[in-house]
Amino acid sequence: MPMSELQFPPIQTAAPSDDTASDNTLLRENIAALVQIKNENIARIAQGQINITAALVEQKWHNRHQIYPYRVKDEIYGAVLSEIISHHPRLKTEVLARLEAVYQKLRDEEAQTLSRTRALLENSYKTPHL
Amino acid sequence: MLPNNLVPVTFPVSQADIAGSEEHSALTLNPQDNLLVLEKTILSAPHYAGQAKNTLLEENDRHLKDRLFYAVKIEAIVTVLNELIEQEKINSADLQMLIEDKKLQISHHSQQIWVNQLTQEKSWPLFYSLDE
Repeated sequence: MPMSELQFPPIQTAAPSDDTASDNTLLRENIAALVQIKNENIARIAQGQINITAALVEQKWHNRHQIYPYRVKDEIYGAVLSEIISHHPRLKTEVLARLEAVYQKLRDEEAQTLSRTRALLENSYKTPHL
Repeated sequence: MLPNNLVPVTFPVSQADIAGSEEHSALTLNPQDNLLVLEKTILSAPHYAGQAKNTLLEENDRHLKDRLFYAVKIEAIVTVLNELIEQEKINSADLQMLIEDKKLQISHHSQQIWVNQLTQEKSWPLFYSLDE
């Protein structure tokens, strides 16, 4: 795919702080890396040398193995949080509101940098431990 | 690429809690729009818009979105639990015991988690809900 087809989001120009400026650089680097991964995938598939149905079965199997530890960790940590809430009903609203606020912050951060997305695709992402 | 909310919206999030993050993003693009623009750029399936669908590329996109959601969700839960310890609302030793307890409990159900990956019969998560 020619470079001209790549759609980069507009640079943010409204009085960027140092943080915003470095986020922008990081975002551009991460987009470039992610687009390259995408194009390699598309090229591999578009060459027509692979059987899509067979490759899909294999890919799904691989993906299930890859996501399984995330599901287990989510079940464990989520159950822990849920149990804490049930033992401390007074904390419930506060904890859930805080959980949502942290999620929004991380989601926003991901939109500014795509760092996790890239780490996931490059297999270097690690979930945090308690 | 990421769902708009983690906690069911029936729980109103106080304005004070989100003020900080809103202030941070006020100068930049709306993160919602931003993620949509980025999604079109980096995911594979939009490339094929208007052409025959490619199930393999769709599977790649879906898998990336699933993992990203888990990553952010687990990070959020870990952050909140660490904050509860810092604020001394829960005790660190109790938390470790509770984690060991839940690990053991969930490990007895690992087969069910695997089977549900194959069938997708029940919605995730299987063993807890923040919604009751």
